[in-house]
Amino acid sequence: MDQQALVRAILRDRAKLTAYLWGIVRDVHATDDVFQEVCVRAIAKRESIKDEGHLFAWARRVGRDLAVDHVRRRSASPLLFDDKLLDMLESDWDEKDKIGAAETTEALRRCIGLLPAAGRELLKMRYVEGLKSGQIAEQLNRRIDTVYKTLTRTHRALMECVTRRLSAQERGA
Amino acid sequence: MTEHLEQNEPFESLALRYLEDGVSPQQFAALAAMLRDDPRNRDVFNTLCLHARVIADQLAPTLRDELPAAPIAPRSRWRGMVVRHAKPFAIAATFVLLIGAAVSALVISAAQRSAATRPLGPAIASLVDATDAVWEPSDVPTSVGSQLGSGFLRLRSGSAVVAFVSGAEVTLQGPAEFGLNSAKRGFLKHGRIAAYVPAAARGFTIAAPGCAVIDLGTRFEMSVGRGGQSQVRVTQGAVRFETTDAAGKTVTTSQLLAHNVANLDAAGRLSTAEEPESAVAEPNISTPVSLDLVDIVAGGDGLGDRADIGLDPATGGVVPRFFSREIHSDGEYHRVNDRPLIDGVFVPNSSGRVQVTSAGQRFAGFTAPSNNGWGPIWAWGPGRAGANLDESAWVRKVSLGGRLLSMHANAGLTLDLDAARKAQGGASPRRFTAVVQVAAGFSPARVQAWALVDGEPKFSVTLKSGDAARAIDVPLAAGSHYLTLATADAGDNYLFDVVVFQNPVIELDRASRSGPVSTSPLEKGIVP
Repeated sequence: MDQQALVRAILRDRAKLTAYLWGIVRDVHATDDVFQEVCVRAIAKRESIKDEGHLFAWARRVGRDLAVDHVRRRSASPLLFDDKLLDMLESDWDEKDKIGAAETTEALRRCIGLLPAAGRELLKMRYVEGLKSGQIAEQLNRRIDTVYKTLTRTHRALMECVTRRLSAQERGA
Repeated sequence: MTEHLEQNEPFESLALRYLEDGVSPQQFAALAAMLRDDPRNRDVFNTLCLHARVIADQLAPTLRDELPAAPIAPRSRWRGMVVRHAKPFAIAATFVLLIGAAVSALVISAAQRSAATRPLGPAIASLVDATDAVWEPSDVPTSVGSQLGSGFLRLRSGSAVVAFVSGAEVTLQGPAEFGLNSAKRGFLKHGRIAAYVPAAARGFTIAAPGCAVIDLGTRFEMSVGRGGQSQVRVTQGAVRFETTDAAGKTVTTSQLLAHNVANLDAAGRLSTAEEPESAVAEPNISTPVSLDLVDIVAGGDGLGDRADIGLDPATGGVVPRFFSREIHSDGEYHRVNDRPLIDGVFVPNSSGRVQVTSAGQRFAGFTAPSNNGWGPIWAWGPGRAGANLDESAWVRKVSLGGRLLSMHANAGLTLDLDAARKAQGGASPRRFTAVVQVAAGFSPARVQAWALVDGEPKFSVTLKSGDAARAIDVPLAAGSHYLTLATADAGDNYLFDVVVFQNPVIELDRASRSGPVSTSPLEKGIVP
């Protein structure tokens, strides 16, 4: 692949790759580090990467190995999904590659706008400010289980909304 | 997926706990089994991860802009538990700052006890100038240009200027013993200082035995005798003056305005007085006035703390939201509307005669065969680096904080020095200073950075990824009209060639001012 095309593709769909890596390492900064390393390796290997499909399958496999290494280095008894389960999760991403990252982002943006203020505040605290649920519970003077429950409901509402929007978009197209 | 979601809350809760590292081995095994057994759970798990990353990386500004910020933790005290009241839900940047302050304060407290402290942690200031300075053994480096961590500077005689990464500048007059404990806090053990605090560093605090001065945006002088008596003189703007007990607890608080003087004697008795304007018109210690290029690019007059906005080097258009994509140049020089101190922008190329000022001055030295650029010239707000993956690719791993202006190759920006001179009542720009470095990107970068005055090169450097930061100090002659900053791809390619100018400022010569000068938002009537 041409270097600029490769870089554009990987930046455009970076959320999918970092989501997969984050699901393994569960640390934003470590995810960024692994992602950067994947990008460096992809650029070095660009001549043997045929197309975008090949790129993302390759990047997920390389990123997965790096992420697993990272988790193993971080802890003596790491919580890691086994290879078979990671294969299964990876297969699911192949399906998700069919939906553009931009469409998902736009649908999410609109769906977040439909959430109640409390739900948006919770998303902000968890993902923008990077607070864990225990810290959120302390701030809001709630039980941690209540925070998990509310966060779960918020994510569920978002998933439903995004699914509907993307389906409607697909039907419209 | 919808039908499945309605029945499956326990799985999602478990997944959320796992993603924040909050599951036991048993819960983890249960989660793995659920994922293994049901493809719908795998779909939900991956979707959850995707939504979380998109929200964090790309929709953060949306959430941040529409919702009020979380409460900011209370200001730390000099002694005792520095973050004892800090709530863990403070915004991330504030949290980091407070942790830094806590570490630094503890270090300096230790220094007060043992005088054995050495610099620790990241640079919080730079020693930018010294005149006839004779130093005693200090905890931090004393050569001009040094990056300073926390610790004490001990100046036997002469004067020295310390620029904090927050933008505050403190001029020490020897003999003085001055401690640095964070980007927004110092400690005057004895001696005399003058502080200049731009709006961006509002809240900058200098503590002393028995008192603390919290700047509300402007200038003040402070002296502390070896016997413990203190004097604070506000030369412009306002400060909050606190007296403290031996444990560092605030005893009294008062606000001092320009021309107010507070005296605290060794017994802790406080008296205040007002001096006639002529008595404080010229501070005894000269304090610099500097124009912040980050503020200027963001639409300010150089004295404020505007940020989070950019300029398109290919068109001169204002860019309200950061983007990361290729920009195509028409090869022309473009004026910038709504930025009175900016003459124009351009995209350097290797044509040999690139117009770099509106007066038609051209420069032939750029090595920029790409002919195009990538993304805007961007004024970075505090805490934004790393907020978005696109953005983090630009400024991530830049080793210094402070005010940041990034210019991805190929980009050029020209400042109108005559306009700056006029806006500042005739004060003459005397030099341009900054620290320049390459941001870590996804692939190795090699890039040129240039500073030109009236089209003539005054500074250039070719930097590679991982190179140390370089200081820029370009003198500006009285008759200079234009200052140009430019980045060029150095002939390889322009991918990830991101140059970051840290604390880029134009210093003005106060002595040459011919009339009333607006030097801070306070003087414009924007009183906090």
